[in-house]
Amino acid sequence: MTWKAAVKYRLWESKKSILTFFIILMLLTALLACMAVSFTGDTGSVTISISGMEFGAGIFAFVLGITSFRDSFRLMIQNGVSRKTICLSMLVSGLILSGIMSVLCGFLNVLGKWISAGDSNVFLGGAMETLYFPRYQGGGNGLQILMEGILFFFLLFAAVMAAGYFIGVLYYRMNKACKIAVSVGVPGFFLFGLPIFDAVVTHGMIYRGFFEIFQRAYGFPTANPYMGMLTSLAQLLLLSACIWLLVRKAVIKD
Amino acid sequence: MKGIEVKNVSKAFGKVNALRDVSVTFEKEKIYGLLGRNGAGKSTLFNVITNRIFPDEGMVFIDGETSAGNDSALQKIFMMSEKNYYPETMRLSEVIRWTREFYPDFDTEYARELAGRFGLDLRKKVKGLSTGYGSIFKIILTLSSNADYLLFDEPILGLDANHRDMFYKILLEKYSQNPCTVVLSTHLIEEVSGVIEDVVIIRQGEILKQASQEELLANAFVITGNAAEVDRFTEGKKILGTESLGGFKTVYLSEFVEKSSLPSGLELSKMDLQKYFIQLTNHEGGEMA
Repeated sequence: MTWKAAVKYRLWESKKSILTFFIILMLLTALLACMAVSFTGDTGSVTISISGMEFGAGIFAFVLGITSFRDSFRLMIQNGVSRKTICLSMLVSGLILSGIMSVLCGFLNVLGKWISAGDSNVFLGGAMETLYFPRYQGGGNGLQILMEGILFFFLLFAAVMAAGYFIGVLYYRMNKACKIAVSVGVPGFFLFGLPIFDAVVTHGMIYRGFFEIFQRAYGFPTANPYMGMLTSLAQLLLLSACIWLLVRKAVIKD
Repeated sequence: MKGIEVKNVSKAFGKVNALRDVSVTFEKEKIYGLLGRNGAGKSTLFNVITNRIFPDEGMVFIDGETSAGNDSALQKIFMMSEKNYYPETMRLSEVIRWTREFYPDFDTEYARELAGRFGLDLRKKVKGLSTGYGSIFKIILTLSSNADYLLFDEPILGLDANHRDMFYKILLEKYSQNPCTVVLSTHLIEEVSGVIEDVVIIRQGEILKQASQEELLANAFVITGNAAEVDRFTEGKKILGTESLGGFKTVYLSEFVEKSSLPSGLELSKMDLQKYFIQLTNHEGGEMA
């Protein structure tokens, strides 16, 4: 089964970087937790809150997606793998890696909570408690937070990784002039063009609109993580379709 | 039908027509030479067959199945590319391991044995290989893949005389033990002429000839002698090319010549594949722009 070999290769290819990232993240969590516990222990009056390691993992998933297309595409084409199978392997491996990463994040949150347990001045939690605070106010059901967090970040990482894959394939397909134009034009537009236009012409309406759509799409105002999961799933499906459209006509480049 | 069938394939890169309405068949269990000058379209044809690039027109069939987007058809072919498509930081042993994953019939033991014969250290990384050893490594992978169709694109690039000789010997040894279709794409004709059965000559993206080497050379002769006498004798005959030196002339003919019909003073000899190729591809301009 060619697709199984292709998925296996993609997982093998990402194994080392994911392991390194999570070992660093784990050490960092442990270090921060110990520092926080000892610091509040000294003063007794300071409250320290550390959360959101998942966002680091999300950025990692995005970068992994961007960087992993070219080499694996060339190797698979060399080994007689069709573009359809390459695309399928990207999707399946992306889901598996996202699953592993979200479970590891869940484990890190449990680790952080375990280290800081008993110290009321230290809060070491996952991003879910921060993003959907009203839902998990007062600690909530630990298992529910863990499971919802794993599911939420599984879909979020998968969507973010798909965005990375999409950009990676897009860059692979573009010629040099296009790459330069996009590399300069897109950040320039979002960092300068749009903010200036929004500030001068629309008086902040565009960014406020973006922010509101983003908040609603992820269910923050209603503290509903399932809304966020649906949004991530929709992004994943849309991006997967776009990736297929790009990969199906990708050719090997020297 | 069994074999690789290329039907009416055309491919252009900008204004350059790399392949023009190419139709060619590579039958089962034969050794072919795909001969052409630099830029003739040999690599493009291989890349189209293996679905690495898309033709503008035409189709490719592997054992009757279309190769485009078809894993089972593509897995029947192993192509040794001139370029390297393996990650630079990968160890050779890892490349072997992963090739084995994609080609279940890949013979790891045989690959190790060949590496030993060529003196290739499999602990090296891909980026650490010289041009010659890069070719050797890809030759090893191709021969060990046990695919039905082995396509070699400039396999002897950077190989020294000993390694080239070893390659031809191993190829024939492998072919005799496990017959498959081998297509050797090269512009170094003399060396491969002893290995190939059938010849496909490509020039400026068009197939000029496809025939067995024997058939091709059965009507290929060289006439040498005094220029005036040679001209008299060859008048009206199918001339591939001529060479002159002082009053002495050589004419390359592509038709059968009875030795008894030769006037005294003229010499008749059979043409070898390299001379035939040179005369055929020099004719009407040679290399593609």
